[in-house]
Amino acid sequence: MVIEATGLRKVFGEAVAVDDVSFALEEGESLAIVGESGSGKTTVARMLVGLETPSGGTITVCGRERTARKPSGAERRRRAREIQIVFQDPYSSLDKRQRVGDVVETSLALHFDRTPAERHRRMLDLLDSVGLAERHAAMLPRQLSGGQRQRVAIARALAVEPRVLVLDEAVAALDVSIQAQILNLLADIRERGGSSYVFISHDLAVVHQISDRAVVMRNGRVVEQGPTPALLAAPQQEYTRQLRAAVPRPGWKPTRRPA
Amino acid sequence: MSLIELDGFGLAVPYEKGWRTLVEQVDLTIGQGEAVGLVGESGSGKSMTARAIIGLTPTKARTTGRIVFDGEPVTGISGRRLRELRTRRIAMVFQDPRAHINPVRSVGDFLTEAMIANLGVAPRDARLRAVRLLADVGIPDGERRLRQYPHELSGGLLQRVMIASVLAVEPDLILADEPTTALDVTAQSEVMAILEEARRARGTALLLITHDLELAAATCDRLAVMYAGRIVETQPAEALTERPRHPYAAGLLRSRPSIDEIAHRLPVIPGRPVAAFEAEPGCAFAPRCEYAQPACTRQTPAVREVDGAAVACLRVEELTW
Amino acid sequence: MSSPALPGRLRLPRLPAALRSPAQRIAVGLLVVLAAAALLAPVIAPYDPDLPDLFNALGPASPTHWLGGDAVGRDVLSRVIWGARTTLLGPLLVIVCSTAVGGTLAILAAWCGGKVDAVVSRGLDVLFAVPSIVFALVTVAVLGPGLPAVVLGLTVAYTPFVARVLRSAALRERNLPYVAAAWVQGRSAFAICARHLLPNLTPLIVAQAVSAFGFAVIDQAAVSFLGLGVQPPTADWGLMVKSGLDSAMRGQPLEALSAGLLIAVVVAAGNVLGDRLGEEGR
Repeated sequence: MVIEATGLRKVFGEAVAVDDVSFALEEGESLAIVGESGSGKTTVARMLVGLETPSGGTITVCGRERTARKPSGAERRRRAREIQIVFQDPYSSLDKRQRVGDVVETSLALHFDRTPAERHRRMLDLLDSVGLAERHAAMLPRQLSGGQRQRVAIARALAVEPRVLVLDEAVAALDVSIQAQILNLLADIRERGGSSYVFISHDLAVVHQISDRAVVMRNGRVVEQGPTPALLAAPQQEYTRQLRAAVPRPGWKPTRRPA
Repeated sequence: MSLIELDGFGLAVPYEKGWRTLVEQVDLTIGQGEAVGLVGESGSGKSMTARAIIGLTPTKARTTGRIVFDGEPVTGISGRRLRELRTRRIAMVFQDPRAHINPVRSVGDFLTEAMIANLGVAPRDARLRAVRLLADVGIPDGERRLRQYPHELSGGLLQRVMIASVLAVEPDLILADEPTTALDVTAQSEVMAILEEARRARGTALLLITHDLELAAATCDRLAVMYAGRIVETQPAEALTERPRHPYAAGLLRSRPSIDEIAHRLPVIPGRPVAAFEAEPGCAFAPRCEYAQPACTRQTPAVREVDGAAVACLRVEELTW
Repeated sequence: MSSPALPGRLRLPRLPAALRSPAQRIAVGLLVVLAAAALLAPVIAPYDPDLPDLFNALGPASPTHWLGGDAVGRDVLSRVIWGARTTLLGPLLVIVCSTAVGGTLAILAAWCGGKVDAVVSRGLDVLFAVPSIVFALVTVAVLGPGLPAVVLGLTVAYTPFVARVLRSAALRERNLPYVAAAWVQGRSAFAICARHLLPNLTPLIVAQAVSAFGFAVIDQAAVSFLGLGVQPPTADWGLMVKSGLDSAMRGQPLEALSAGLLIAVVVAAGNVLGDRLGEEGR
């Protein structure tokens, strides 16, 4: 088990964003957390990577429970090597003044003791593994397309060699033809024995393509969870059925929810 | 009889010392009461084309070709005439309703304002009509909603208010620019269903601009696929999804993951979408096309009729999927 | 059109933002000339600025004394040139110090958020409510008249002005996902602030500093005019306006006019540049 979350809860002021959410992620598995806006799926992702502190419940990563105590610098870097995140917006998830090669080398330098020459070579390898060429290393984010930027963000995360990669709507902002490229890239990385995924998404078709198991969330709570193909083929809960019915596909007609 | 007709329409904006072409040689017709989906990725020029119909072109843009609405040319007419067209006959639904509805005025003000100012309806009647319109778009407690403000409504509800405001002027044509992209899937389904019902009841034509081929196929009669500023394929919706004729349209359909089956690897279109001004000479799609031949990069393929489809591909006769 | 990436397309090196329009070029030119005059005062000033010459007392403009003489016959042109030193140096120190302190507070408040932000913001609000001149008067009262007291007082007065604008910009930057990504990567708070926040805020910091410089010149001149800043016989434009008023009554307006005009020029140039740089920084 790489991640085990039990009874997770997050409260912002009066509002309960996440309430009693439990799930587990096996080594090498891809787990989807599915939901609409306000479902709390992104808050779960942020708690997993330490950007939010849970108000209740526990998160255990690689056998160690995340305590609420403020972690030391060394502890934070160790956690970084356990779990990394890729965000939705390929524009603001890179520093607009930092060159692509520098983005990747900075994270290498932070985690591994290598000579500058080795680091540079490793950076080029990483860019290559996400489908970018050597010439991209010298570019600024604004010289890249959305899909290319998202590749840089993935390379930055992979540089740390994390056990788990959290993908927070990582393909939602991309063009359809680019989305497919990135989904294939993610599948390749996992096949090469890269890491386990937590895939946060609102898009059931994408989730179907990328995940082994899925957790459906609504209003901060888990509605249903199970193996993705079974869950989509025969949803047990009314809400999951509604979600599935709302996905446009050949022969689909839009419908109004019964009032 | 066609309600609107674009004939060789093109649009360019000034850039540094020259021009940047964004839309080129677009031919498109929409019949009375017909729903047409204009589908494309970023840079395809789909939004630009739709907005040009109501004269919303970028500043200093240069247009070519003709746009004819109900027998009358739209390109080059006076601002006043254009405004008249916009307030009475062609209405637009935007992607982000919050950005297009005044946040400090109530829903009631927003809905009745146009009716009172443009259609000369008495204020009391306008309120009654607004309540009826809200009911039409699936908002039952209209009286209460009229007193609410935009921030009190969810994105889905607000988009329905927007649609109600569009229906209020009883236009002949609705331009919907990614109307559901900012919404959740369940809200998207409802908004599209409501739009469709209201449209059918009134015989209103629709131009749906979207990146989502499946959504367009499910809600439109006919689809036009744009790439790099040109329409590369036009077909009835069902025919296009069953048998796309242009390699780009076929690629788009295949590369989208399906909820019903898992592909080991998604068939992808290599490279990235380009805008018209970035395109190489010849067919703009050729650099990404697995079927491209040397001839494809020599000339821009003209649109040709093949089995009821209009396709801009040199090899359309030989290619099948 | 959301991603107009242009691989392979060479961008021409951009002109520094400050030099794109004629107004900005003039503004930069004027400031450069004044700064050069201040630096080269010993070389270019035709006379000793402090040396009275009774034959030139209230003297009119002439080939030997281009701007005439003041009440005790010192050469006005030389005093204007030497005066540039104190008049510009004080505000320069004020801006450097208040930008350093204000910028640090702003980034600290934006990064830490919560209580730190609340304390810093409320503190700044309180300082903000007090007119800048009042601070200068208080420090002068405590430390005695002179440049150090004025600089200290104005620095305290300008810090909230700088910090408030930078705080909201820093907050916006801090909430971008790339900062979250750096945090998840295990980078230290200091590294993120120094390597990401600060460089991204730099254009705004510069714009702020340039436009604030103009105001600082006015404020310092006002304090001098009140007789609480630089003390006579040091040449200073604020002081010259004051003593020049007297001369003007007696028929020699050039002293007050030239000093006053130069103050106005510096302020205007600062505003033109600051506005423009501010737009660029956004």
